Amino acid sequence: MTQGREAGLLDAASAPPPATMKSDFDPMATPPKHTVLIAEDNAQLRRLFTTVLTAAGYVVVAVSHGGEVLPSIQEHQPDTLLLDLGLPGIDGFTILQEVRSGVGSSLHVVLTTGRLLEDHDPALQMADGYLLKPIGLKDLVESVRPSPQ
Amino acid sequence: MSGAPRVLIVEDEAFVAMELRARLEDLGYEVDGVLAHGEAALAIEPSELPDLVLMDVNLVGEMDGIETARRLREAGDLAVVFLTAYSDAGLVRRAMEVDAHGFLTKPFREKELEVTLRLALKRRELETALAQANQGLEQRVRERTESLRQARNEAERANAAKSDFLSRASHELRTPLNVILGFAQLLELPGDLHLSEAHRDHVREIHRAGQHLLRMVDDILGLARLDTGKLDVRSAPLSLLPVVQECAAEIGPAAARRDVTVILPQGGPSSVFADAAHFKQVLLNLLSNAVKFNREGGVIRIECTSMADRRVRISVTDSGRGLSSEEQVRLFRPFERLESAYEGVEGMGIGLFQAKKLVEGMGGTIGVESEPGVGSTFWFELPETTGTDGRTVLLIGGNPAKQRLMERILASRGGLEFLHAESVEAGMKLVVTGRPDLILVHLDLPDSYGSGGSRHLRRSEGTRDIPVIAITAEATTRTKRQARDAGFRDVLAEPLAPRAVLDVINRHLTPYPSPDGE
Repeated sequence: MTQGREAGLLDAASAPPPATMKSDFDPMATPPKHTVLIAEDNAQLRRLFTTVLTAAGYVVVAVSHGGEVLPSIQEHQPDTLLLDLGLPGIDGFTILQEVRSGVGSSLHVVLTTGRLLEDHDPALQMADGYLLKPIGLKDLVESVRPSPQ
Repeated sequence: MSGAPRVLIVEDEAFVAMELRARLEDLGYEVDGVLAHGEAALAIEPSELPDLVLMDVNLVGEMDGIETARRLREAGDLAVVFLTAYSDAGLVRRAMEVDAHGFLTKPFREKELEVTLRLALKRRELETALAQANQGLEQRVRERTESLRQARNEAERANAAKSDFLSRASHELRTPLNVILGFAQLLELPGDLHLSEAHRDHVREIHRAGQHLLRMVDDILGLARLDTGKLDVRSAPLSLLPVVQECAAEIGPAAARRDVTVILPQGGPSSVFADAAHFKQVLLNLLSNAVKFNREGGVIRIECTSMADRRVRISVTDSGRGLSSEEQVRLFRPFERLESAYEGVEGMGIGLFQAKKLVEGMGGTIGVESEPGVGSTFWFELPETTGTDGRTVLLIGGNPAKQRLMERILASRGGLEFLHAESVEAGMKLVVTGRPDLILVHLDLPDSYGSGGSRHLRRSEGTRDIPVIAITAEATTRTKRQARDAGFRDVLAEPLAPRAVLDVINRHLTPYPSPDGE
C-alpha cells in the first residue's frame, strides 16, 4: 500500500486529487483520503494502476485473486473498487453480486474489462462505471472518484 | 419369389372352385386354399397371405369380392385377379377402382387363366421391385441430406470456433496493450521525470506503435463480428446531407493536417435506405482512406447521385496517385495491403473488406474506379427512398381497427405502400398484383387460415421468397418457437408496439443475403 501526492505528475491527465474535492458541493460526503481497492490479476496492470492512482492522491490497496476481494473490502473499507471482470477464482460478476447484496452495497464500483459490454449487460447495471482496456490514465483517475452524495 | 407361386381361391360356388383348384395345380401353382367368404380371407394373418388371390366378384355374405380385395390389398402386398360373369357389369366398374391385376370372365379357357395369372404375378413382382427401389432411393436421399447437414453443421461450428478465437484473442491482447500504452503515457506526462528529448521521442514511438496495435485488435474484433453473421442491419430512410456532413466533420482534423480540402455534395438525392450506423462506418472508412492516400494539399469530393434501378450512389473521389487495375481487384479482400500505396500509412487492410460486408448487408454494392496519376473514386450504391421506395407491405387478416393501426404505424415510417387482405386467398391474389416485399399475417384468423394459410404462402411460387411475419395475441415463447419452426421469419405480439413493428419490418425488408438462402 502506498500513498502520497507527487505534485505535477498527473497534472495534464488527471482529475483533481481528493484534496481539491473539499471545494465540492458537499465536502463532508467525501473524506479527505479516498481508498481504492484494485482487483486485477495482471501484475503489470496492477502496478500501473497503483502508480497512477497513488500519484493522483488516492490510498491504494491491490489484490490479484477473486477470493481476496471481499476480505479486503472488510479489512480496508475502500471508497472505490476497481474490479476486473475476468479475475481468477471468484469471477468479477459474482463478486459484484456479493458486494451489492452485502455490506458494500454503497461502494463505488468501476469495472474493467477487455470485452465491450452491451448497455443491458447485468454487470454494467450493478456497477457505477466501466472502463474498456486499454484504459487511458485520465479516464482511470476520473472514474474511481466516487460522486458526492 | 421361391418355389411355386401361392394362390388363394375365394369362390362361393363349390363346383367352380374345385375346377379352378385342379387347373391351377395343373399349371404348377400351389393352392393355399379355397374360401367361400370374404370374411374368411380377411382372417388370414398378413404374413400368411398368398402371392395372388383369385377372387369371385359376386360373393354371397356380408362382403362382396371387391370390398374383400380392397381390404386384402391394404393388409399386404399381393396380386388380385377378379372372376366375373357377364351379368356383373355394375360390379366390374367398381372392381376397376381396386386396381386389380387382372380380370377373368366366366366361362374362361385354360389358356386365358394361365396368361392372366402369369401377367398378374409379373406385375406384382415389378411393383414390389419398384417399391423397393423407391425405398432405397428415399433412404439414400435421407442419408445424403443428413451427411450434407452434418457437413454444414461442422463447417458452421468450425467457423464459429474461429470467430470465437479471434474475439477472445482480441480481448486478451488488450491487457498487455494496456500495460504498454499506460506506462508509455505515464512517461509522456510532463512532470519531474528527467527524460531527454531523445527518450521522449522513443516513448512517443512506443505509444504510437501501441495505438497502431490497438486499432488492429479492434479491426480483428470487427472482422470476427462480421464473420459470425452477427451483422445487425436495421435499414430505414436516412437523410443524406446530415450524415455526410457529420462524417466530413469527423474526418476534418485529419484532412486539415494534410492540407486536404473536402468538398461536400451539391444537390443529388436527399435520402437513402440504409442503416445509419453502418452507412457512417462505410463513408468514414472511404473518407479516411481518401485522406491517407491523398497527396498533400489534395482534394476529396463527395457526391450523391441517383442511379438506374432506384439506387443511390455515394462516391468519394480523391486526388491521390490512383490504382492500377490489378490493385483494384485486390482492394476489397481482407488483409490485402497494397505495398506501394501505403508507405507510412497504418492499417491492416481490413477497412474496405469491412465496408464491403456492411454495404452488402444493406443490400448494396461497393466498387472503385481509378486512373493512375489522377486519383480514385470509391463508391457504394444503396436502395433509394423517394416517396414510396417501391416497398409494399401486405397485411392479411385483422379487424378494421387493427388495419388502421397498422396503416398508421407504417405511415410513420414512410416510404411504404400498404395493402390489406381479409383472407389468405384474397392475399394470394394481392401478392400477384401488388408484389409485396413483406407479408404480415394474423394467426388468430377466425377460420382455418392462420398458420395453415401461411404454409400455403410459403410453398407457393411467387410468395415463397417473401418474408412472412406472424401477428398473434398469444405470443408465448412456445408459440413463437412454433411459428418460427413453421417458417415465419418473425413473430409480433399483440398489442402491437409501433417500435417493435417497425424494427421487425426494417429488419426483414432489407435485402439480406444469407448463405443458405433461407
